This record gives sequence, C-alpha cells and structure tokens, in this order.
Amino acid sequence: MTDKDTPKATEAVTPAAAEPAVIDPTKTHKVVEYKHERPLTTCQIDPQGRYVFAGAEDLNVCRWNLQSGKKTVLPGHRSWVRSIRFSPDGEWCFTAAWDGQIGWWKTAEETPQSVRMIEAHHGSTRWVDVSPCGQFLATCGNDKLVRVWNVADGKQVGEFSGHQTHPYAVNFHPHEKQLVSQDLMGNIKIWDLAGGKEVCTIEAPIMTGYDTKFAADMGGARDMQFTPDGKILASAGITRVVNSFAGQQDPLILLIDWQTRQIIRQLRTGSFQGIAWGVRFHPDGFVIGAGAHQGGRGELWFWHMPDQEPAKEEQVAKEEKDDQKPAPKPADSKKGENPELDRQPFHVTKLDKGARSVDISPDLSRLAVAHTDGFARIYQMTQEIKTKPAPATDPEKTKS
Amino acid sequence: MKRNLGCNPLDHVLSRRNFIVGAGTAAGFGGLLPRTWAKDAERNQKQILQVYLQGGVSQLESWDPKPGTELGGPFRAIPTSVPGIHISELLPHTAKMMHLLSIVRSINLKTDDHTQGRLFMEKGRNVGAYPYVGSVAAKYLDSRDPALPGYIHISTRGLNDDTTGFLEPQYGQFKLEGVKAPKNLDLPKDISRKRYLARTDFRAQLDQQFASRRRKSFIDALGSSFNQASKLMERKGLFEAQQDPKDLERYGTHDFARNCILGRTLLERGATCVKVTHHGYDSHAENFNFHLEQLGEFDKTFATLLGDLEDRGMLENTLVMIYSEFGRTPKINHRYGRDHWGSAWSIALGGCGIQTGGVVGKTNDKGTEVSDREVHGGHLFQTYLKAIGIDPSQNHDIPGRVIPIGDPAVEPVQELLA
Repeated sequence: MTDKDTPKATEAVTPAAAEPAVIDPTKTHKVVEYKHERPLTTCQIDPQGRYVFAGAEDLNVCRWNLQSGKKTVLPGHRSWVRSIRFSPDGEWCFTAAWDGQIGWWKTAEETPQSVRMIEAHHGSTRWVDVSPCGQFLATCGNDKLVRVWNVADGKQVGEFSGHQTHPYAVNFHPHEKQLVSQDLMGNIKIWDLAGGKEVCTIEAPIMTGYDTKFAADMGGARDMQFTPDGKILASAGITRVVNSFAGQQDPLILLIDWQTRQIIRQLRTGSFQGIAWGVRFHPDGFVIGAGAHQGGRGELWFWHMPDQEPAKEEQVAKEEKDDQKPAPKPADSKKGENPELDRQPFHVTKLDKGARSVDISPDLSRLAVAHTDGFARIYQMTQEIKTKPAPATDPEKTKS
Repeated sequence: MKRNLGCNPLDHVLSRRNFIVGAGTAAGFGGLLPRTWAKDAERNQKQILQVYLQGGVSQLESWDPKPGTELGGPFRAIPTSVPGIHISELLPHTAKMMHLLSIVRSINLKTDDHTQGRLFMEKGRNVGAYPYVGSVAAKYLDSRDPALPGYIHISTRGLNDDTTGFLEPQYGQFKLEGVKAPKNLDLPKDISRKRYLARTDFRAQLDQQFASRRRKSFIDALGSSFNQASKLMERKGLFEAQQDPKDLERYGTHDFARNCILGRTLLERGATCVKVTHHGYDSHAENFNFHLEQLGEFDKTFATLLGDLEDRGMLENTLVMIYSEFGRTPKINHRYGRDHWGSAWSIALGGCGIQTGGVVGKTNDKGTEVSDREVHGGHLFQTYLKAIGIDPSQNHDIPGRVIPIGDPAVEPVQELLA
C-alpha cells in the first residue's frame, strides 16, 4: 500500500462500534475515505461487511478492507465496471462491465483473480444482480436483452427480449420468481422466470425525457432496489429534462407498489439538478438516495418510507423550515407526473463531490458512496464521535 | 487542457434569403431512381455529400479510439475493412465500409467554440466573410440552369448561417426541415396557372427594365431565386412521393435515416452539394450514453447511404465528408461528459478525389495533442475543393475583386488526394 492509498480517517474507525449507536440519518457524517486514481463508477459492501468494492473509469475493480483500509486492485476487465453484486453469503463477487463481460471473483482472496469471465452481452453489460438463492445471475446489456446465468458453471439459462431501447438495470424479486428491468425510456418490464415470458410493463415516462434541443432521449434506471419483503420497488434516475447534454435535469426516485404495479411516490430532491445514482431501503423506515449535481457536488437524501411519513401539515412545515421546497414547476401529466405523490427528503447530507452509487453496511449504520473524484467514502448514520483524527495506518510510513 | 463549456442556443429561424430562395422547395423525393441514371452523361458533374455531426462528435468514440487508456472511455476499438485501421465499436457498420473512407486524426482548429469551429471547417478561414464549401461548389460546379438549388441542407433544426460570403445569394444553402414538405408549394387558390405564368412574365419584364439601371449580379440573383422556386413548384409531384418502404427498412425510420434517403435522392437528381445534419453530439454530460444512442442512429444509416452511392457509381463523382465543428475533450468530466475540443480531433472523407483506406496524422497516446501531421480547417477546405476539381489557388469569379478561393498560406492535404 502506498501513502497515496492510505485511508484518511476523520474519526476513530472501527469495524463495529463497541456499543450499538442509535441510527439517525440526520447525523450522517463522513468517517473515512479511500482513494483511487480514477473516478469511481459504482460501489458495494460485501454482505459480511469486510470490504467495499468499487468500479472505476479504468479497467480495474478496487477492493478496500474496511478494517485495515488496505487497497487491492483487481484487474481483468477490458472496460469500466458499471455494476457489482455479491452472493448472499458474500463469498463471491460478480462484476458487469462496459466490455460486455461479467466476472466472477472470490471476495476475500488475498489477490483475487477473475475465476470466470463470460461475454454476457453484445455491447456493454449494464447491470448484474444475484438471485436471492444465490444460484443465478441476471444481467442486461446494450443488445437490449435480459439474460439469466447459472452461477455454478456460468451457462446461460434464460433470455428475455422485449425492450425497445437499452435496459439499464435488472433486479430479482426477493421472493417471487420474477425479474424486473428498466430501459432508457423508463419502461419497467416484469419477467416471469419460470415461464420465460414478460408478465407486464409498467410505464414510467416520468423517468425519461426527450431533449428537443439536441434531439436525443435521456432516462432509465441508474439503480434499482426492492424492499426486503418485496412489496416496494425503487428506481433511481432522472426526470424533467431541460438540457440533458449539460446535465440539466432533476433527480428522481420512484417507489412502485409491487402488488398494484402503481407508482406510489415520486421522491424529489428540492432544487438539486443532476442524477440520482443510487437508492437503498433502510429497515428503520427510510429511503436513502445518492446523487451527483451537474455542478460537481453531491448529496445524500433521506425520505420517510410511505408508511412512516408524518402528517401532511407536519411535512409541509418541515420543508418550509428547511427551505427544501423547490419553486413549483407545472406538473406534466403526459409524463405521468402526479404532484400528490411528490415527497421531499426529511434530511439532506451535503457531499463535496458527486455520488455515483450508495450501499448500506450489514450493520445498517454506514453508507459507502462511490464518488466522482475517485474516492470511496464511508459515512456513518449515527452521532459523530468527536475525537482527534486517527493517524495514518500505512505500515511503511510508521517505520520511518 | 482548456475547455469551453459555453453553448449558444441554435437559431431555428429561417433567414429571409433562404425563405425567398426556397419559396417552393420541398422534401420527400421518394421513389427509387433507376440505377442506370448514374451513368448518364450529367453524372460527370462533381458533387458533395456532407454529413455534419452537429455539436462535435467525440473522436475517441468514433474515428480515433484509445481503448484501455486513462482517458479512452469505456468503449473498445474494432477492426475495419482496412487491415490495421481500427475505429470505435460504436461504428460497426461504418467499419465494414472503411475501404471507402480515409480518416484525418490530426485536426487542430485552435478554437473550442461552436461557431468559430463550424465556420473554420466550412470556410477554410478562421476569420472573414468567406463562402462555405457548399456555396463555392454550387457556384463553380452547378450547371447554368440547375434543376435544384446547388447547396441543400437537410436538418431537423435551423442553423442560420450566411453561407455565401461575397458570392451571389443563389449559392446560399437552401434549408429543408427534414423531409417535411415545405409550405407554399402550391399556387394560392385564387391564382390560376395561366394567371401565375402571366404574372411571372410581367415580373420578368419589370426586372429587365429595372436591371438596365442597376448592378447585374443583384438582378441575376433575384431572378435566379424566382426561377429556382418556379422549377421546384413544377416538380411538386416528386416532392409529394412517399419514401420507399424498402429504403426505410434498410436505412431506418428515424429522422436522420429519412433525411439521408432524401439526400441520396437529391444527389441523384443533380444537386451539387447536399448537407445532412445529425444533431445531438454536444455531450457535456452523459457523453457515452449519448454517443451510444446518436452513433447508433448514424452508423447503420450512413453505412447504407455510402453503400448506395457506391452501388450506383456515384462515389466516383461525389465527395463524402463526415465532420463536426470540433471534437470532444479527452478529459472526462464529473458528469461523464466530454467538453469542447478543437485541438486534436478527427474527420472522415471518401469518394470523389480522395485516396481512401488510409489514415492521415495521429494524436498522442492519451489523445490530448496532435503528434503528427497537424492540419486545420484551411488545409481541409483546400482538400475538399481539390477533390472535386476546383483549384483553390485560383481567385473567385467576382468582378473587380481578387479574392483567393482558398487561403494562400496553406496547402491541401496532398496525401489524401487520389
């Protein structure tokens, strides 16, 4: 490990707090950061909480040990890694890259080598997800296909076609034998794994926009996530395209009721302009979003889950107090906008740099964020401990 | 690296001159013309097909990929029909036609401004009111009585440029808004054809009297405009034809595909210069997704068009230009975007007068600088003209004025010329 790679701790960093602290997203603060030479594209914490893995604007996957801060670089892809997921037990890491390949890695190996690389799609592979049982992978790519793979041998066991534009993300339902994928035009397709057919399409035109100035579409899911009980699906992306070629559009996270297939919430971000790149559900009853502003900064957003929302009057008073309420924009009914479903975050954590991904640690107290400046930063959702910053832990430096 | 983030809104408004010149023009010249048409004697006329990728296509995602390098982006390079030449994987169909093209990878315009870059690429000079290459071609290659405007620009949006400089207005670009039939193609309801012809004759008489006391060129230009409009109105039947479904199947059904089919037909009908603009490359954000989508439209359509021109024997007399006003920064910004970059970028040329299957110039490993055979808009302008048989070292045919057609300080790119 070089000095450059030494993690910078802003408070005492331990793998787990001695006493469980109360999770309070309004106390979210940075505790450590890990540096890579190139901007990061995504990140994921392994289910055992030992490592954070990240993709970057190079050919590498980065792994940082969350206890020691040691960085390990995993070469093997021929392009940028866009998506990372783990097996349920955390022993295997799966990566999807713009080169069309998906990779198998042993999570905790001293120097992980790719155990298997397969050409999953013609053109880029946008996303990889692992089935709840851990036996299958789902991917989507620029060939407009969704494919299912056997983890054990890497053989394709299913293929779904029907997207008319590039699908950006795919997720297994946590309990039902179904998959969801969302494309550039916002269409969310539900696929029946057993029958091998499309079940239905949920149209979400609010998540896409045609830039009339530049004559091009922008939209699609930048992240998707189910609640653990599978009752709600979240999709993070954009809405209200003004000039997408300059990054002028609003972030948006949609919550969709799985049973009714209806959009039940449009999670907004005040006057922030940019993209919502990540979404996670926290079991304490809130939704976490991460995004990058067109100007370069980032934000973490926290919304109440629908069943945890305060009374409307209380919410309005809070938004006014926090100055979160953006200037009203006319609702575009053609885009499926429904102002009744709009919600603003109950808390926003400002980030110096744009966030391209967010993930929650297994102990539910921390967030890992992949940043546009090459840092993976860890944020703690508990009261900040005011201690002197820990010294650098680089053994080489210690010797001198 | 310097970056220019500024983009001015594009002007959608048709200029008065364009309106007058094109009062009766239209799109939709459907119907496949006989391939033997290409063998007609008139086909010896040199022509130009310009495919303008408006906003600045990324050289790294098109003609000069640097896969696996720090700033190379996520896309790979693929081999082409010319051994040793690789282009971006976003152009698989064009890659198969590479033997019909050559790439210039060493353009340095020393500007990152949309307008300045466009003017330099079109006029061959970075300052001054000079004519665009399309207008120059229209003036010196058009027949004396052309059936179509000499310089036709098909676009879904307007760029309100004066393309003529000091040339006569009839050589200015005539803009078609996609394949949509323009207004004013029909005579007003209360004017019969007989009455229209009588009015036309009467106007010609007045013009004659008027011209006797004024500059001839001005009256000629006005007369040409009316004459051109009349001819186009007479070809109304052509304009109203639907595009061939087989063409749409091969080219695609999006606007750019329809515009390219129309462009091919206009060239077949004898237009001297046809410019087809494909918008949407000014990707300060989401450069990779936008290039995937935009070049996805461009690639198959352009390759099909190029193949058609070859099949019909038209490439012998048609210069093909694929160009922008500049390229895009090697540096990738925090929005996954690339910004304006006129310092080290690429275009492709083919067809009439071009030595194809080659690459001229190169950039360094990161693509941040030209490392060999630097050229700019002046060199390229002279190359275009040489390729179509116009000597850029000659002076413009303007009475009483000596204006070199090309910048005398520069030379054509000789190695590009056949």
